[in-house]
Amino acid sequence: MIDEAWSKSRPTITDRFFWEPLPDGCLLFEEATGELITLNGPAELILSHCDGEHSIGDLRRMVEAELEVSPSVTEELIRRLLSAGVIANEAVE
Amino acid sequence: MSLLLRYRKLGIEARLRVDAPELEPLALGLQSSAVTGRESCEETATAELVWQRRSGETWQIRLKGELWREAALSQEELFLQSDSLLDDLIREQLALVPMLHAGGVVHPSGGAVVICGSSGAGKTSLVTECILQGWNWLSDERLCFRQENPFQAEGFRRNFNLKERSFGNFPEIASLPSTRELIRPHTGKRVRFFDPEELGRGRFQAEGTVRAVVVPRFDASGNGTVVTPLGGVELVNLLVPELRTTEIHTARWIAEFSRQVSAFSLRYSNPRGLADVLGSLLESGDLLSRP
Repeated sequence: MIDEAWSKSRPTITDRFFWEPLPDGCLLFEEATGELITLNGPAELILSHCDGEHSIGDLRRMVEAELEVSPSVTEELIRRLLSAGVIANEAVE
Repeated sequence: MSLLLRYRKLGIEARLRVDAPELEPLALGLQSSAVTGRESCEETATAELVWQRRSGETWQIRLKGELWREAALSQEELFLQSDSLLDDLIREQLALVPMLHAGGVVHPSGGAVVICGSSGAGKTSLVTECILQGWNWLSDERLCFRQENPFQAEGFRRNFNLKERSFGNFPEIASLPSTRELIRPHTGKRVRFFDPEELGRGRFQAEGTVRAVVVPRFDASGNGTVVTPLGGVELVNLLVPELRTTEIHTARWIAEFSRQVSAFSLRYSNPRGLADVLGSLLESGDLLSRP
């Protein structure tokens, strides 16, 4: 049940980071801490769809279809984005 | 009487006053490429950095009027620490300006190459090799990017210091009039400080438009020179540790820079001949791999 709730949850981007695109990913900068994070292509694709509309299940399928990245890798990337505070997922917090 | 030396970098002046006459030869060798004036002065003359006798043959530094560190210094320490302190005095005036720990050279036909890497990567060796092959230089250590144009690198005058590992690659450095060989107290490693002006007069260039970034990596195995293109994320990850600070202006600059400038890693075993490789990168921007 927990996995299903997680899969159906719809993460959103927090407003902590300033975002700049790169040719193969993006750069995030948190002004309050000076922290700078780079994201690769799959992570950027995930982030750009964390709009509260797409569920984690949607994100897994989309990243697999567009970039041939396995769902487990997508899961891991989502967890890292959550852990870094780049996205929030209130439904399961 | 004391000796007052004036240094100018990035349009900012810093002054060293030497209150002990026996230290004057040492002082004249300190960052000589950035000296814009030298004059006799009273011991009361204003200077950000002052060299004084501590007691006997030991010395001390006063930094902006305050004693810098309690411990007495040898002449070698005086020279090495002051080399860094002079740069710090300039840097603190440019606190919010992107300043990259990197060398920079400008091809005779225009177009600058940024040589970025941590200590020991080969920045000074590559810049030295390029000067010997007729290129102009911006710096072997520090570049400033404060202009409206994010690709305009400003040069940073200072004397180069060549690490012992590279002495054999550049035997001509040993006989330059400015060359001063020192042993770093904490590492026990020898370095040669020299004035790059002595490799080619008037080759310092105040600014250059960056066309490529090269990240060198010394490879002792001697398997030739290998150039590999770097992606934007890879480049940002390599540049960030070489930046002094990250704030929003720097983050924007680094992103724009990484989007627009070609970047390459350069694995090499001998810096001699690498000026041609850098020239090829500027001309073609293509991946080069030399056996």
